[in-house]
Amino acid sequence: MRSEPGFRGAGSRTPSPGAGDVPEAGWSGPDWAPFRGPEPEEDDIWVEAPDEDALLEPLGDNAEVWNEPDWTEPEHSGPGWAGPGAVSLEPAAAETGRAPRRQAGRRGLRGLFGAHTSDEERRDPAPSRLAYKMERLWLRPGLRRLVRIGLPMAACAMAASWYFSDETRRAEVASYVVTTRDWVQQRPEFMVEMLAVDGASPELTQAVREATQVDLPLSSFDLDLDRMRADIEALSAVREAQLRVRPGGVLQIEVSEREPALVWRSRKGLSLLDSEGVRIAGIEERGDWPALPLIAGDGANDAITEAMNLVAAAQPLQERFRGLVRMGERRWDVVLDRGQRIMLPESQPAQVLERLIALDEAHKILERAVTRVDLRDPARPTLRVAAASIDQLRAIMAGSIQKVSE
Amino acid sequence: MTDLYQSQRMMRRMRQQALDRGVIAILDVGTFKIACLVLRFDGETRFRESDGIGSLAGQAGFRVIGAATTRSRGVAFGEIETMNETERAIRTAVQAAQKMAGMRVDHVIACFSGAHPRSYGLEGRIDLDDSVVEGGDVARVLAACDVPDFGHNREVLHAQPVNFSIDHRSGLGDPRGQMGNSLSADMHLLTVDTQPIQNLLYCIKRCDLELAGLASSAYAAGISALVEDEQELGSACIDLGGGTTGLSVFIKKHMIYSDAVRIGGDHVTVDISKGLQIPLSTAERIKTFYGGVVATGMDDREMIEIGGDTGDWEHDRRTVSRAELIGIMRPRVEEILEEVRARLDAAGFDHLPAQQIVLTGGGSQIPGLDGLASRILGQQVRLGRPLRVQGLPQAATGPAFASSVGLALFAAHPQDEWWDFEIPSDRYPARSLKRAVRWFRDNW
Repeated sequence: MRSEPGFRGAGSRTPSPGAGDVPEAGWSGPDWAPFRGPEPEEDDIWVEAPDEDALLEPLGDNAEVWNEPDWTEPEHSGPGWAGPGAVSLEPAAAETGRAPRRQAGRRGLRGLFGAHTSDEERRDPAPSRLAYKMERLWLRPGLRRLVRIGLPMAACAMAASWYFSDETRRAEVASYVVTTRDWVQQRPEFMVEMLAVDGASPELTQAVREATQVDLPLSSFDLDLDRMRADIEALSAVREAQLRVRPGGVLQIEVSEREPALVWRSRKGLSLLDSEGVRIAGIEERGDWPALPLIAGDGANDAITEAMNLVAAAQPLQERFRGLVRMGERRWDVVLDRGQRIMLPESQPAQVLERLIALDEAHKILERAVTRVDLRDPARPTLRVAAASIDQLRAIMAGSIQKVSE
Repeated sequence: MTDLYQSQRMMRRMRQQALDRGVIAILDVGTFKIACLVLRFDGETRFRESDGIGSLAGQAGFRVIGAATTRSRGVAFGEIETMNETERAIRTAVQAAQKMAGMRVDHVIACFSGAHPRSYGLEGRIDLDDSVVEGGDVARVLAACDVPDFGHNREVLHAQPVNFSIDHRSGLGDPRGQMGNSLSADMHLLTVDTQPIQNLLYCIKRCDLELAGLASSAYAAGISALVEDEQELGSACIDLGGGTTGLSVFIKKHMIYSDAVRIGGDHVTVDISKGLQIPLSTAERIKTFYGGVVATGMDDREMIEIGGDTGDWEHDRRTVSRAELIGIMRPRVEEILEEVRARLDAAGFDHLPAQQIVLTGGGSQIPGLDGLASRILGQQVRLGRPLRVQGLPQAATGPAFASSVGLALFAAHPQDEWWDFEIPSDRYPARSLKRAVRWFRDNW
């Protein structure tokens, strides 16, 4: 039929029918291209318009709009129109299904031009004035948000306030909440069964256990770890404690003990001090801690840093070193064996001691019969010699005088 | 005249409001279909004043986000005949376009083809106060144009200054800042009947839309179907619509003449319907499927079944050859083109440097029309399709949408019209505060 491509003229400028002519999404306009659609054949008279139908079907109401120029629809595919070949090819389509719809379309066109052939009117595709106004109202973003978010929220709030306006219901909900919370907290997953103390001596472990004051098993929600930590750290032998609830229901307490650094002989007896001067524990025997230096005197524990320095400075005298005595809570005496004492000044005692030791290494002062080395005034060191030695010295001196006088 | 002047200014303000809001609708009220496009403007930054018309005529600044078309109802010869029906059709189109855009539109720019458009060429001349032309002088020279008496029931649709001349120098696009003694302007005035405009305004108002502009559809089709050099060198755009055939003549990127022939594609359909005694719907369908204006030997053998549903087998099995169909269509198409030829001759189209003729509109899709038109209108005939704009659906890119697309371009980038210039100070209403301010500014 119209098979010569050159004949089409203007038609060649229109989009060619078929695959290349897929409309964009949302647009399903009328098929304006007049040369579109299947080429009519003698026995196949564009009865099938499956593509157009498929395009129009899911659009619902809108399809009416796009469906508008009805002449693009094959109007005359009814039984009366289609040739015998078409009827035999598509009896179902000709008899049922599509036929009523086309009838309706035809009536619509007739109605447009004033020839009503049927009492069944085609639905007007135009929205009513009210529907149009409502649609435009609905397209206001503010109103949309109000209806979609504000209205449900307001409804929920109203329902909740109505529900809680009753006293008994409030109590019910509160008790339900409490019950549920307890039920969850008492679950075995949350129960603490065991207490484990790490890093402490057996005595301290016992003390820590007593200090924690918990009755196991207990829900981990009920454990007050901060209070327990404070209680444990209140023990004098504990420097630091870390508590955590391990999986498996174990309350793990990591304790770091204070290290004893000195033995302090005070009026209350012997006790151990750590390097910060904190009293760790009382002891019975000095001999139990032979490695630790001994300090004595009131207020010795307050000047513990100085004491440690002095102990370190007295290292060359280690063999003879007996201890340090705090005198008058202001200065130190170093006590050596054989009753020797080195009386140190208040200020810079360690340097003075070192100077004395240097002197001792040169002149062996401390090996002589000296009972006191008074260095309280570093500018004027004084020695106290033992009484027997004094006599001997005097005798020697007298002898020498005699020898001189002779 | 002042009323319309004010209302046109108001429409320009509406357009500005719509651009600020970013959404505007285009409504093409035709005899055959009503098309509605929803445009979204991404901002003024994309087309600046300094760019001139810009690439792709500046339409890159907008995007079509909704498009819908519906069969027109109650419109004849491009004029609204049955207001209720047309209002419903407009509602249908606007609602569908809004639905596609997912956005509400409040401002609409409309075009229509009927209402007996008539062109006037106006000329005005003033002496310049100081030798430099300023904005106020342009307004004064436009106001000095002697307006012909076009009748009391006519309204000015377009009033575009197309040419300025200073002293003896003519052909100025923008005279501002230039020096001379006298300034004269040529203005193209397009008037239409008042009644169709009133009807259209009423329908649009009934649809809760604000009118942000009005245009002649022949002008809009010319904007979109003519390419830039055709607009520059002189050409005519012939918009073969359903009820009317609009023609607009462009030169130097201005429309200088516009007219309408009140015959269109619907008349072809009616001829077929009467000649073959078939319903209008069938006539329209076989026109679009088999229509043509040049018969060949093959067409004698191509039989078209025209059918019927009377129940009479003989009547319902009628066939016509395509040659017969062409024989019915061709005289009417020839009549249209000859009418157009007569209008172009009357307008002096022969004197234009280039005489390109562009056929567009739904009727231009008749196969073989370009051959027939070149025999009647002259050798330089081509078929025009609207400019491609962003986001326009494939189905709306055909020549039937030339004036819709042109109106979209018009919305984005309107040409200067009379009412875009300042009102000359002596035309202000009395006791106007603006007038006082103006007086101060002029004198100090």
